[in-house]
Amino acid sequence: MNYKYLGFILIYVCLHLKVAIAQKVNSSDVGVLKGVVYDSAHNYRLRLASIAVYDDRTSELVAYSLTNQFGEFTFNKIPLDNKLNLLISMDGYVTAKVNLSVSKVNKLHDCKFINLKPANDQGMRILDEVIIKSIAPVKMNGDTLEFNANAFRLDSNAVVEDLIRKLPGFILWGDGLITVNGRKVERVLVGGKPFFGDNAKTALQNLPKESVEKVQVYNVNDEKKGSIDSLTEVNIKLKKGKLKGIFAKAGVGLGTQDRRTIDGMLSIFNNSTQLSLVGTSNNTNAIPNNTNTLIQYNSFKGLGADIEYQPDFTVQGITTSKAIGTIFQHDFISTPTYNNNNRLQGDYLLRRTLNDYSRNTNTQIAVTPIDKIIQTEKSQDQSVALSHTLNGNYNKKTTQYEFQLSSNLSVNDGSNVSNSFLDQQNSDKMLSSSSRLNQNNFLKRNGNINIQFKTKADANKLWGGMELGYRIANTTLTDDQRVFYELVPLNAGVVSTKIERLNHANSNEITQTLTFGSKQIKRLLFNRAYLWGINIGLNNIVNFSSVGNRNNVQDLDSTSSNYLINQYLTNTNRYKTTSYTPTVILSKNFRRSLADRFENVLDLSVNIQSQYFLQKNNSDKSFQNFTRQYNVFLPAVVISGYKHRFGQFRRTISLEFRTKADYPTLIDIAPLTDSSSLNYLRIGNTGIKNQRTNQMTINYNYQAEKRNKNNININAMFTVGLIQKKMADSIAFNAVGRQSVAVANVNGYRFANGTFLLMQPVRLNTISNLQFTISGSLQLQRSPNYINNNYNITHTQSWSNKFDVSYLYNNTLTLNFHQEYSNYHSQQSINSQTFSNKLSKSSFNSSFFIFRSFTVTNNFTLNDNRSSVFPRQRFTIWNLSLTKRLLKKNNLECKISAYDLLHNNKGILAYGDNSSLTTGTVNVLRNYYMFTLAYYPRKF
Amino acid sequence: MKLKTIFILPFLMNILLSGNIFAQVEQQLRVDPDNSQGGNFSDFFDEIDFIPLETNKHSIFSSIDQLEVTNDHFIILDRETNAVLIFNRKGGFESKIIATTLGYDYPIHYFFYDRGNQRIILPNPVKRDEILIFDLRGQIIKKEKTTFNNFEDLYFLKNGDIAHYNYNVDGRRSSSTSNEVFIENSGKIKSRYFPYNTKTAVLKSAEVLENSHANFYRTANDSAALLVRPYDYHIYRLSNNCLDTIFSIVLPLNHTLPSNFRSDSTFTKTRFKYLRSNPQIVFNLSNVYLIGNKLFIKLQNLDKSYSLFYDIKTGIFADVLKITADHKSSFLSFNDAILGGPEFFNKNFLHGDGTFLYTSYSASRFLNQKTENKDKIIDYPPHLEKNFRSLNAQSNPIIIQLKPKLN
Repeated sequence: MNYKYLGFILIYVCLHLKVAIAQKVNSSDVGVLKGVVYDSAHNYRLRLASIAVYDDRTSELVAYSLTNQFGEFTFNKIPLDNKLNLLISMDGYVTAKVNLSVSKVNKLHDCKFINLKPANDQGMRILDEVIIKSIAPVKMNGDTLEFNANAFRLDSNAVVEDLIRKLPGFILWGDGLITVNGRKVERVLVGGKPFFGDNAKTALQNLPKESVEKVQVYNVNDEKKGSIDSLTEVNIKLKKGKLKGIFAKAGVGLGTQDRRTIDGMLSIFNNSTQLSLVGTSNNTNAIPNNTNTLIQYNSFKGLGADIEYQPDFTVQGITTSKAIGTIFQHDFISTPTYNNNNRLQGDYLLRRTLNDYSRNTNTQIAVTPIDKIIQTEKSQDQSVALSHTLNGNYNKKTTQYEFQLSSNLSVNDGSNVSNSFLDQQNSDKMLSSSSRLNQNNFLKRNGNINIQFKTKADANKLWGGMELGYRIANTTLTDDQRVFYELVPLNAGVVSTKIERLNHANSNEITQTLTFGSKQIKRLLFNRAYLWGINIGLNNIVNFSSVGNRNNVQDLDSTSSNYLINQYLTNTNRYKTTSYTPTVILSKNFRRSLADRFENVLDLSVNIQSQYFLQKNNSDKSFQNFTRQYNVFLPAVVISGYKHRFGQFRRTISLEFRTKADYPTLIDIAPLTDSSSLNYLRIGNTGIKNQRTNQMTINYNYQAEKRNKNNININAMFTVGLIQKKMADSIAFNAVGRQSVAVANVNGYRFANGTFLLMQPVRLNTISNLQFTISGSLQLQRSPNYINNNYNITHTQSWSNKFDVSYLYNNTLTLNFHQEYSNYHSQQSINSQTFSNKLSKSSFNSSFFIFRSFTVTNNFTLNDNRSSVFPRQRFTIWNLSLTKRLLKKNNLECKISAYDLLHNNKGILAYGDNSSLTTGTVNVLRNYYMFTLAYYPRKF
Repeated sequence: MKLKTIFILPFLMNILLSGNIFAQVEQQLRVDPDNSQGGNFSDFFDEIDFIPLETNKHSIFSSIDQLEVTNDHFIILDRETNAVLIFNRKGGFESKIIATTLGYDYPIHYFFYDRGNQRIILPNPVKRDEILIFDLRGQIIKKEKTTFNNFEDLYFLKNGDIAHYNYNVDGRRSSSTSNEVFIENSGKIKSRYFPYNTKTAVLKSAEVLENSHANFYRTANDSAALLVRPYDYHIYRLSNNCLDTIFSIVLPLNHTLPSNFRSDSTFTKTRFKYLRSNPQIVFNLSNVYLIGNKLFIKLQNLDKSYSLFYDIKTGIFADVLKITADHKSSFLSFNDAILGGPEFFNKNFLHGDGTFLYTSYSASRFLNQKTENKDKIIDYPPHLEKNFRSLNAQSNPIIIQLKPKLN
């Protein structure tokens, strides 16, 4: 038995199970029920016996608890004059059943001593009726706390999520996070295995509650933090006979504005294998990025009031998607454990997307301290892409080692047509007007294989903590591009230009990475020498990369009307890099603990790391041939402290100092200038050097674990850093606004950013709670560059904060208020030009489970956008939907939805960089109404 | 024939030179641990005292890993802080041995107490023939070479006799005869028991699953100690010149080791596997305390160990963990296992002096009980009220001293 973990579970028991009474009665109509559970055969008061009180008429669970060290139980809120069944159960004993009621007169029923008979005395003769009703709601099983699903009476169509909401101490947060007594649940498993991927919601929203035998809560070691902390997991144990099942969905939706959706899923699982086929076709911006998202989208979901599924009206452009995918998992060990699994997983997604994106923007570019360029652009972009993605993963883990083989194959075949019109002017006159039409067809193939082997860290074993890894990746790209570009001068000095160009480009990239090292080489080097308790680790990363590019460019000769080879842009190039990064890791752990009081751990780690980087380019163009090498020292120091004050809090603070090098690439050193990008010409800089980032990060995490309190959880992170020899743009504008951009090393780039998250649940009573979430982020940046040889510094500050409060009442009503405020401000030193943008978003969401199977969901969002260069924009999005579940198993769903009822949605663009500021609008989804019909065949 | 005699002769000589082994008055104690009784605290104990140990920056420690009780002192080993602490019987802190200050740069795994000379002895884990001797003020008296190295357990009997427990068998050692238990005085062996060959004995040291506490246990009589051995269900009484088998524990078949588990070579290299496959089987006896005719004993297995009370006179046995606190203990538990703590599960009763039993748990568990028992009307004695007021969750563990009911 692991008492480190048992402690957490027992705190949990103390926190929640003594008051775990779920009832809906007036405080004046309740009385007290108490008693002592006793084994008369052995003269023994039974502690941790499970006590459950059921309503005799409805068989509904009224209250439950575990007996204390004296075998006693007391319930203070038992409805009066109700016929009740008291069921007392414990492993090894025959369940006892007592019929009783708490009278209105005494308001107290004392059961005195209730005798449990050892099971072997009765030969396990238990009545069927008792077996069904006598399930102990909760019990301890070694280090594991177990909730018996049968004890919780819910709607026959409830899913696991509905059950979890009923369990004391569990909080399901709006962002999908689950916490148990304030601790984050890292994984939700079904029978010890992931269920159709790692997303917990797939299990929670598809598996019927009736299939579940137990929900188990336990802790496992945190491999990343070593001895510092443990992780909380939840395992859903299915009933025997319910270890296999089929769940599916077929749905169709028709709406105004020619909006439509078709969805389908078929998922099959048994004790060792899971297989799912899933597909969608829609033009409502529901873009399936992976198979897991699709499965999630097609989940059955419970019957309660749930507000999380709202369409996202902020997605830019209109995307029509068609996709079909599959996911497969086979466990060679039918009941895997944390240290013993053997699993094969794979998924495949075939996707076709059609994207229609149009936008109007206005960009101001600082040129000199007194002048600026203003660009007005209208663009339209239509793209079609067909992609295949296949992922495979094999994992074998034993108590001694872990082996992983993973691979990924993807093919992306598509075409794109974009059309843009750009007018350019300076502060007093129009300069030019240009149009550009790009057509391209591309085919990109990517494949990689990744192999990893590591042995368990064990200071007593010579080869403990060893890690070996190899990765090979290959990417090929074929891109046929056709460009029509025309520039009409509107001012003297601007040359009329017309280009019609064909570009056939091929590229082939191969990257290989070899990783080898050990977390503990001290034993290997110094045998059993103590060396002041310092652990020595070694890591080596060797990387080889080779990229071949072949461009065949032809321009239309206006006189002969023939396409002629563009000798400058037609080119064959091979860019190779080799890097070797050895790291020696010296670490020492200081630990002090006093039993049942506190545990303090301080980890110090120093990474002595250097990096050798070699780059070599061979090209048809002689000026592109170069060989460069770099040797950089990249040390890192990590100090982390963990403090656990038992029954009070856990706190982790870490301070990290890290360094990173970024190297100039071919495009920075010697690019080929594309003459068709007349407004943006890239120029090489052979003297450019690598940049170096030095950054310091502090992380803070606090989890309260006080008895009988609503425990707060706080996470905060703050980073400051500077980049030496930052590779920044040096921009030169000519008189007609044409940009020539080269990279140059500048010093003085500094940045700071931070995030903050606070989560606080407030338990109002046994059936309702409040959830508060406050979060914020901050980014500060001082980024220098050159504009027309003038040193310019852009100061950027952006921050956002979010406040979210939800009220949940007995799974029938959910109210949510969300306030989000974000601010962006930038100022350039060259001309004191400032740009600011403030965005405020207030959402009122509600979901009301009115009566059986009927839900009304309302979503009201006020958007307010204020910009220093754009008129204030305010708009409101109001969505409303009515959902009705039909048939006996509630597996037919009719839904009427009205989106953007006020016809008010606007797509607003606002962003800036070192020398330019852009605002504009983009096409987005607008008002439509939709009727959706979905059928969920399910068999478990 | 002559050759055989040469080999057998030393063995026969050894037996002849051995003490009066098996001069026993053996009593069989038949125990079914799964069907043991429970009861109220007052059914088993006459007295209980909760003794807080002073907490200050010098005396703060984690938990009691080993406890020795003298007339005036509690001597405590805390492995977490790697110190031996000396408190008076009222819980007042007196002194501390911090071995590292003496150049003893190793964790202290255990200490011995020489009751006759009132000396605390720390064995050097690296120089196994060296010991460090301290007085009860925590002052070092001397470092001393010992004749008998590699001992595993010592017990100081009367008149300067020292009992050794030592079982060290390895196929790589040279062949010689040694004794699992022997008594020496000033380096001279007086009596020997349980002979074995250091090279060829069937049971190798690497296959012994050690007892989690000790081999020798104090009795009310300073001239005798109780002795237990691995994979052996007998309890022996060792005195200056005699070894008796006083009890033999008989368990139900499903909890019992095969009778040839120690001696049969078919178990070679499979003993641990056998115990892992049969986790309910009791492989060791430990924490053996005989107070009057009440025997307290821990039965160790890999599943869940049993802590039992056995009334020698009546044959009634009970599970200590089934004893419920009552008015006599002010409804405070005498062990933390019932409160969800690890101390009693892992360490059981820490010490027995023939009159009292001693155990320990944290101050926070002691304090929490008052909160958890708030629904009960309890008239706490003044010293307990004082403890509730003076202790906090960060205080040192408390010692619980229990006097078993003898009638």
